[in-house]
Amino acid sequence: MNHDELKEVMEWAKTTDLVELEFRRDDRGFSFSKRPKAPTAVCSFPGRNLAAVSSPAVGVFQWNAPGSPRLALEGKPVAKGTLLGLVEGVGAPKKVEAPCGGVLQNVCVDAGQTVQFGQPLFFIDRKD
Amino acid sequence: MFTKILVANRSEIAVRVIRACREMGIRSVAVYSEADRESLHVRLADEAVCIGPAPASASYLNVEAILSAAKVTGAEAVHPGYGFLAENADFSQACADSGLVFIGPKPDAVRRLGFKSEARDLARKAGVPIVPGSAGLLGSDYAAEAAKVGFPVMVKAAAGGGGKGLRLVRDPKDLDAQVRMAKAEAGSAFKDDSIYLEKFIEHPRHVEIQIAADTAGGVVAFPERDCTVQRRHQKLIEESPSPAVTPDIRRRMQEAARALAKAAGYSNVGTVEFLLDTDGSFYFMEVNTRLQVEHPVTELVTGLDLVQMQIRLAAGEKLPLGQERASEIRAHSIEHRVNAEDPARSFAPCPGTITALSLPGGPGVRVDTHVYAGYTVPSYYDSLIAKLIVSAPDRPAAISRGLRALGEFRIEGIKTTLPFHREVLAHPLFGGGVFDTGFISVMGDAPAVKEKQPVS
Repeated sequence: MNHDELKEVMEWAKTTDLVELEFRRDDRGFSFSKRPKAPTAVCSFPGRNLAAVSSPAVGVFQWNAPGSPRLALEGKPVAKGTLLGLVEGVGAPKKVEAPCGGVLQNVCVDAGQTVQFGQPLFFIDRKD
Repeated sequence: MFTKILVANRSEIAVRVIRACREMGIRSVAVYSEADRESLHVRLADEAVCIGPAPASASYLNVEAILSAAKVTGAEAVHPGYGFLAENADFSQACADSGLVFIGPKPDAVRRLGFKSEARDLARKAGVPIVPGSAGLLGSDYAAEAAKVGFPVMVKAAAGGGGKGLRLVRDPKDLDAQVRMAKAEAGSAFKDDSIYLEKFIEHPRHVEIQIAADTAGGVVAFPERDCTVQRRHQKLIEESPSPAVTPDIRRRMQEAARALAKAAGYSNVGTVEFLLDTDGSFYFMEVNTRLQVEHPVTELVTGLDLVQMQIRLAAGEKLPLGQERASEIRAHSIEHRVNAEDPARSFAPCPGTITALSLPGGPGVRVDTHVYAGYTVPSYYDSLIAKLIVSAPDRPAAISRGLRALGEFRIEGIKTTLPFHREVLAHPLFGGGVFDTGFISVMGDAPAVKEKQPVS
């Protein structure tokens, strides 16, 4: 059996629920197994440590006070305490601040959007 | 009529209000804390907003968060339920200031009736009987005052609370010593040794009158609810009509409640609480300026929907009925408060996960609840998990029906007060109808009827 034929058999095997297959002719052949191997080492995840930043209140999200610049930009570094946005409801606007330093990995909110307490707004790839 | 109402509460009462809204074609907004994510009210409402973490101070008592939720969802009115912010005049004022209709009385009426001393003065002026007592604080002539009130008397600290400076005097010859002790106790506890006297009601029953009022000055009073079965001032069973109230007492109580509501400029629904003495005299205690836990009892007796009425009255509608209709008694009803508490361990709270639940049903049985199998009772809030309300043509039939329904009611995984309720209903004292607020403490002294096996 040549390489192309073997490839064809393997492709076919994938379409079935076969777990193991062995083929022998004249002391030559092949065998393969789709059974997952037991992990040999403790799985290590990439060195990323995401911190969620959730809304401190119910209200309407804004990037900043009127006339002040947006500081929360995806992919940009932030320091602990950086103002990421404001939640405007009844009473004074509630600040959304970075709980740690790092890179602003995901922005899950936009200005004018209604948010509730505990809703994830940002993820920071923390560096501290 | 409103198109959207925010329900500023949790548990069975939030479910009750959401149901009323649904039947009226009004959209409902539930608010919830992080501990109530799995509560039924969150699922049943048209919209739900998380307003804060588990502690009530940061969620269900957080005025800014609730008003913000109303604003972002476009609700026009707020139903406060009972407890939490329901009797907070500042909250109802804040609603008005935010352009929201508070479904309840106006803030000034709540303030007038919220302070006990002011409410008493108002009652006196309206001709509502109050517990006889000394005219103001006691001076050196206390013996004459006590004789005028009549023994037994209760000596009370003016700045009182928590049972401090409270002395019961049965015999006139003990008065001197007890007054001295009460003064000393009050002085050390409250830095104010002023005291006053009140007649001591030996065998009081707790009887209350539900009222409804519109903003045009119309007031009606419904048949009484008897809430005498209490444990440490916590009501456990309520029934209507009361086995101790005659048609004459009922009529006089209803008149007193209406007079007080008119004098206070009251609107929406409320409850006037009285102490009923064995001789048929009754005395004003306080006004609850909200919907009560036990409102379904009145709903089943009168065949009316008090929550829908509350919403209509708040929207400015006139009362849909007159006193004659309000007085109609169409059934006898009993409510059982099922709490997540262990009656065998002095009613200690028993939060946890309900592993299996089977609700009673059939004729004349209503269950108001926010729990279901798999629900975890959080430990942050009060322990009421369900109300079983039965109605039948008369009291004996209501008791039989209650026993039948309690036998069908199964809650597994946590301890509840269900066994306690079966014991009370089967008790000859309860069946006889003659008991006072000390019923639970004397329950064990009389032979209880052996509990019937629940239907399998």
